[in-house]
Amino acid sequence: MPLLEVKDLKAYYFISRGAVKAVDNVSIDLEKGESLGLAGESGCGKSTLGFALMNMLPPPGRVVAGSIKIDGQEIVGMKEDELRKRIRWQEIAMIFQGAMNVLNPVYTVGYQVAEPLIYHKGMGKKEAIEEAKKYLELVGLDPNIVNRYPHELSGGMKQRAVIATALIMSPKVLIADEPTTALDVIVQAQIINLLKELKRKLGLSIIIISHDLSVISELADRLAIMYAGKIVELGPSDSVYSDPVHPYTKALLNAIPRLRKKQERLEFIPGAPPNLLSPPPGCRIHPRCPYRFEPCDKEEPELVEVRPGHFVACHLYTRR
Amino acid sequence: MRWSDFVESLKDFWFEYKRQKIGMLGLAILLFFIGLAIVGPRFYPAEMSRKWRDVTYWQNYPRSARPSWINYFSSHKMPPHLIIAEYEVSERMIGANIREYVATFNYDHEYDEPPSDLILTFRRQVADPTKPPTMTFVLLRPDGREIELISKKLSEAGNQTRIVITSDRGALSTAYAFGREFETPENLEKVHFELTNPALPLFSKAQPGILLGNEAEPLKGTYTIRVTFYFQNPEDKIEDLTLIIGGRVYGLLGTDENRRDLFAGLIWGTRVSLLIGILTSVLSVFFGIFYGVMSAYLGGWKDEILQRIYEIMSSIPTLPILILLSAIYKPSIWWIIFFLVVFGWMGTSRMARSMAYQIKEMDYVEAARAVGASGFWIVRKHVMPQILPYAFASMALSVPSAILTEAGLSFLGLGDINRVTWGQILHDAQSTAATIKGMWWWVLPPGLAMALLGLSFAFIGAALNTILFPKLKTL
Amino acid sequence: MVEAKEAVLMDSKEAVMKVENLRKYFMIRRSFGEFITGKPPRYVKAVDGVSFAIKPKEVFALVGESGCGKTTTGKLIVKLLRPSGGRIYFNGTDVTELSTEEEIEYRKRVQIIFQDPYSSLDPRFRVYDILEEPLLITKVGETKAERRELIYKALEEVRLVPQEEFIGRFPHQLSGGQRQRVAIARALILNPEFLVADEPVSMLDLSIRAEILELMRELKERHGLTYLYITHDLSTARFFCDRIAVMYLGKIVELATSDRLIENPVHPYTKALLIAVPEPDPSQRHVMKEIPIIGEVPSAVNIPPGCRFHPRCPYRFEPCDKEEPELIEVEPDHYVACHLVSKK
Repeated sequence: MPLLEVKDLKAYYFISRGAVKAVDNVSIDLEKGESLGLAGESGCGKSTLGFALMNMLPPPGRVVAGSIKIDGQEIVGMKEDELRKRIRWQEIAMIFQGAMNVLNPVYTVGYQVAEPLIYHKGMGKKEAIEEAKKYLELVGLDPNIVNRYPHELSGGMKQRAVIATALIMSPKVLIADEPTTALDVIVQAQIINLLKELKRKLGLSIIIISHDLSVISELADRLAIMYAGKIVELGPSDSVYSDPVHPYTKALLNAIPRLRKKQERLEFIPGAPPNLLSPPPGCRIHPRCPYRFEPCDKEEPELVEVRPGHFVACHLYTRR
Repeated sequence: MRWSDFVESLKDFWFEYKRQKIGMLGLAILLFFIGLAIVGPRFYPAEMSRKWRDVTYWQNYPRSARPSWINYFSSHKMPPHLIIAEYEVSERMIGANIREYVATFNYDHEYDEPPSDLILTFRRQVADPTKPPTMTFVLLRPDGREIELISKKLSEAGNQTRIVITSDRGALSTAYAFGREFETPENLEKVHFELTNPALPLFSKAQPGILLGNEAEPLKGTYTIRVTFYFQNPEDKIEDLTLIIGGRVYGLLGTDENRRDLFAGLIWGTRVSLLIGILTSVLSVFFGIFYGVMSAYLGGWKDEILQRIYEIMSSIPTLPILILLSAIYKPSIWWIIFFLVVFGWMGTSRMARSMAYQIKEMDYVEAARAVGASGFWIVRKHVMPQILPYAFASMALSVPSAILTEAGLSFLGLGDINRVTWGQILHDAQSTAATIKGMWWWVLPPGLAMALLGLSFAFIGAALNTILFPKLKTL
Repeated sequence: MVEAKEAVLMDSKEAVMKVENLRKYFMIRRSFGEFITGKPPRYVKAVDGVSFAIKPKEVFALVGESGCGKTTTGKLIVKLLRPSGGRIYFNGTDVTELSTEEEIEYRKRVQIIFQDPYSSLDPRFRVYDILEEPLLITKVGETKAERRELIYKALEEVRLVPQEEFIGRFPHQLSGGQRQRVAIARALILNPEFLVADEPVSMLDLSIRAEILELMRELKERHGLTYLYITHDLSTARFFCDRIAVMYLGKIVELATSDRLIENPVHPYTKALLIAVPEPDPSQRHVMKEIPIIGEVPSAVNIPPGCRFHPRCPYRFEPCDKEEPELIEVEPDHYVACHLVSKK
């Protein structure tokens, strides 16, 4: 049984003009010690999926349908109280995008790292800070920075502290939403190294959400490409990177400027992602797809297995 | 910004504003006051405002009358204020030289309290001042009793005569004597001549208790008042003869102890309060924005100097200084507005400066500077359009404090003496201990009006804030 | 020292844009107490002696981490900031001090594209007004019709067509890529010959990034533009640029053609940067990257003595903390400022 099992998940935002279908029928699973990359353009619903997995979608967002099971435990529809007591941060934790910039400037780093212990477990402050020291050491920081304030830390150090906070309740699943955006290249590489190390050392299951396929490739065992609220391709990363199947995935990979390869041209996908209030009928990419044919604007393609463990949702493979 | 965009954004704004309940409530209250300030003066002449402190202007009004609508809420009916200029006249000659001129007034008394006053006013034209006319004032009660209250020679100088029968010593003792006849000796023990209202025995049933305010029973029915003039010279004349039956209720809001119509005061006070509130806030917000934007735009040491001035201004305690200035200069309301602006722009300027600094750092400002835009261009095109919406919210929010500060000064007796303001009404109420006397109609309306008007602006400002500020955040 | 600079500026006669020993120090505001006690002001040395020359129709990249001074250099060139020292030459003329008329002329010919298309467009302006603004300020296009024509042409250049569909829109009604196109159109409308592009794609999605870079390249070909491309991303620099200069703490540490810099980096900092760049190749995911660098960038207020990089350099040796290395040509058109090449 996978550690995390998501089935037919729908998470919508309800605004005055209708429902924004940010996550629409998404199914994924995650084994223990595995890492899954979630990639896509901004607005494709990847961050919403992250929040939905924590069951803490900000209003007006709501999980409408589907199931999320962590260790066999259903968390959709679970009471907020119970979620807070048993699931959130203890089973599944998240590093929010830009979290390092919202550390509270008036509390010490140690207190902020230890806060989940005090808040969720009712641990004493002293004891919790001792525990925090261990985790700061784990993420490669000097444990003595517990008494420092966020402004005394560099960007990389703050991001490490944020990771320590996420790990302090020893969750089984860690969701990292754009963990390296806004960091400089070298710091980014250091944080990627840290995540690799944590995965190996703690047997952590990680979901990395990013628009940057290069960053994801450094970490993910499997890769899911999202477009307009749906997963269009999902498979082992080697398979997806070396031989992408979906036209969108191909285009995304060809749009990456390579450092060690001279490119004459970069490919790009003309147009912009659709408005998720009223996504196009049929396959959601069809208006931007150069290979579209007759069924694309009518029928929605299903995810089919094209190679072992490698799924793709495209009529090119189901209809031809 | 194009005109059509401006109209469009105003429409959008109104659409959003309409959904702010609190804002609509505030707007409704404000419109009520504005309506009051516009329509009210049609019924209340401007004189009322100018002559607020002129005692003679108000002498024909009742003293300390309650609002007339209290009669609807009580079975104990109070007499209203009546000014009777209609009378029957009969004339005849007595002998060769003396002309008798009799004016007969009728008054229906259907109330549970006697009138507060009986006042007679007229103008006489006397050919020979050495031969003044004589006058008598006779009250004929419904029970047939007849009392001559006044009989006197009209020998005073001038031709305008005003006789307050209820204050006339002679009339007073006549009325008292009339009452005594029916009173029991025990009751007479409790009565003091000096404290008796002469109207009480005159308009009460002739029975024991007639002199006791709480025991006297009103004598209802038609009273006839006969005023007789004896002219020594047949050419002499009386004009504009008017009998005023002083009411115990008057108008919408009654009168104060100086007989002034409090509703007129409230209306004229509304004008002054709106004027002071709006003008002060508009001027101080505009000056504040100008100062703040200038400070941000000039930057460097000029900004430093402007900020030090700002800090000095902010640290001056406003009210004591205003009290001092008002006490020394006895300013008009224009000067008061000026003082309020001088001490009231700082909050806005701080906000405007920080906003202007933020906008100044935006890339689109850099882009404009990269093609050589002047500071003035940037302020006009990029900074002002963003600060102005804030200015409106800020104006609305600063109105109440301006109104209250002016009211505070007036309350201390330091306002503009040539205008009625709510604060001055309260000041007068305070100085005559109106609250102790239970004259709630004197104290409550101006106080409530102040609170309501302040509240209306606060509501509007709060609504503007909720609409405008989320927008500003997304810039 | 003079020789080294001459070396970098060897081809300076044909340079479109040349900067010489450019410096920009920002004074740190002193507290009142410090001011009274006469404590000397401290400076952030954002740009501290930078020299380079950009050839016509060249794309020159300034690469570095945040705080290295690359953006400040760009702003100095478009005269959004006044240099604390050094010279800027445009087509051979010194533009450091200009009269008002000369400055207007200069601004028409040298333009800038900003990083964040969300903050570089005034949210209250329609696309038409955004593009009209530079025309009104520089008084190009005397009549409304002339200006309209220029605006339509600029929109066509960046392929926002049909123009009618876009001129009435506000920035929030555009996608990220469209906004950046509007920003590029604004920079192009005065028909400049030199463009400073300050991280023009770093805030954009991957697919849009490629689109904008392709557009910028196309415009370069069509109008013979010269670019100064400022970025932290070596991958786009390799794709887009002819030469790359790597900056560290206000100084250039290595300068070479893109291919040579990436294939044969010499400076330890450049090497570290290159290793750190993630590649879309999942086969490396189980391997830790060895990044030969220590700690993080120090503050530009306290610049280390000697070589600025020495506290973080794994190869540092005796002279590194004392002497500042000069830029030295290690192979044709490849300059490095490192004692490893100059002293060993």
